[in-house]
Amino acid sequence: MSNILNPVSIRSIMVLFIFLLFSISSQAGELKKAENFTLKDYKGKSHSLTDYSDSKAVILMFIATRCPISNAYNPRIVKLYDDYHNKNVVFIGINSNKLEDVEEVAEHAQKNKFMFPVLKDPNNVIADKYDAQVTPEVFVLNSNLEILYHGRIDDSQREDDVKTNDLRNALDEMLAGKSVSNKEIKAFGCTIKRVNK
Amino acid sequence: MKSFIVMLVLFFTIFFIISRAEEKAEQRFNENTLDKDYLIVRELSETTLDSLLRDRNGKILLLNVWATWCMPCREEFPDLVKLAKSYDANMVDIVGISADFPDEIDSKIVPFLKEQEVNFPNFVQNFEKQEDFINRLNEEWQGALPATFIYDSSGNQQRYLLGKQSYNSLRRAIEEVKRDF
Repeated sequence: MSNILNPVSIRSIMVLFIFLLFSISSQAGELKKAENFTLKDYKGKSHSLTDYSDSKAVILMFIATRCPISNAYNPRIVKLYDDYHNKNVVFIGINSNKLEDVEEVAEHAQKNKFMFPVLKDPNNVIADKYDAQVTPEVFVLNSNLEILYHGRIDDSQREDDVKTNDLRNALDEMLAGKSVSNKEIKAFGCTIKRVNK
Repeated sequence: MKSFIVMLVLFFTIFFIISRAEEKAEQRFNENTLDKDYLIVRELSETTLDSLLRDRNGKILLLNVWATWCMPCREEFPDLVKLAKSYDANMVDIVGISADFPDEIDSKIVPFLKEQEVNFPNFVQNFEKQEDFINRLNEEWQGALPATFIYDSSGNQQRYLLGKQSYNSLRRAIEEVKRDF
């Protein structure tokens, strides 16, 4: 026993332990930074993330016009907008699908009574930058463009089966001045259809 | 010394009995899970997935995650059927996992499989948390469908293919895993 745990190996175990502890704590405290971008909405108006630096949060929602899962969330997205846009939270939809053109995006937004801008992301440049893969997929950014939350809106595509409202929880924590407890939660969705590069 | 030998014999006897029982349970499990009647769709829990990945018996495994609501998945499915036809079932296991709900087996999953004339087993995902299922298959995967995962004969994941694949791209990936691992 004394051979196995000699002073040298005890020291190296201690060093390793301190290193692990340090790396875990530094990971927990750091937020990923998002990149600013400028895109046009379906009305032709340009939007940059820096336009919204006075807001408490910007919610970027990668959505689609044809994906059944994304479409199952349309009424819930409208409800989220109704509940939070007066609390200085900005909602922005982004459509990165190559087959869904700006006319289709406009029609879809009007049909679903989206009161927030929906931006067209030609050649899925922003989806690539954010590494967004699925619709619907949301990013909650603070005014420093730090990602507070990334992932699903809630835990079921069936509204009646929803048990945890992850996006709402993240927004409520953020508005209460707390740090968001679950920063990333994945869910099934449609692949964002990208252009061939 | 005598009691030590008795203890040792007792230990090995118990060990032998337990391992035989486990072996039998595993055999039963394999017969049940990869059912020959491909229109029987079972629920995939964490333990079922773990056994599927562990009990490779020297075979490569291609796992395809799809859903009836996912258009590219539906378009890709005939290529999976073609792929299953082209491989000896003793060499490669092709297994589908539907991301529909378990209560949609009869209403959506089976009618789709019937229409596709499916020739490989399919499960419906039933993890308590969807996210755990996604991360169990690949930490980098965000949950976009379809997605395909290829495991070597030791059960290690060697390929992760996101989005709709073709018969050729799937076949090439299997051949690469066969050659390299």
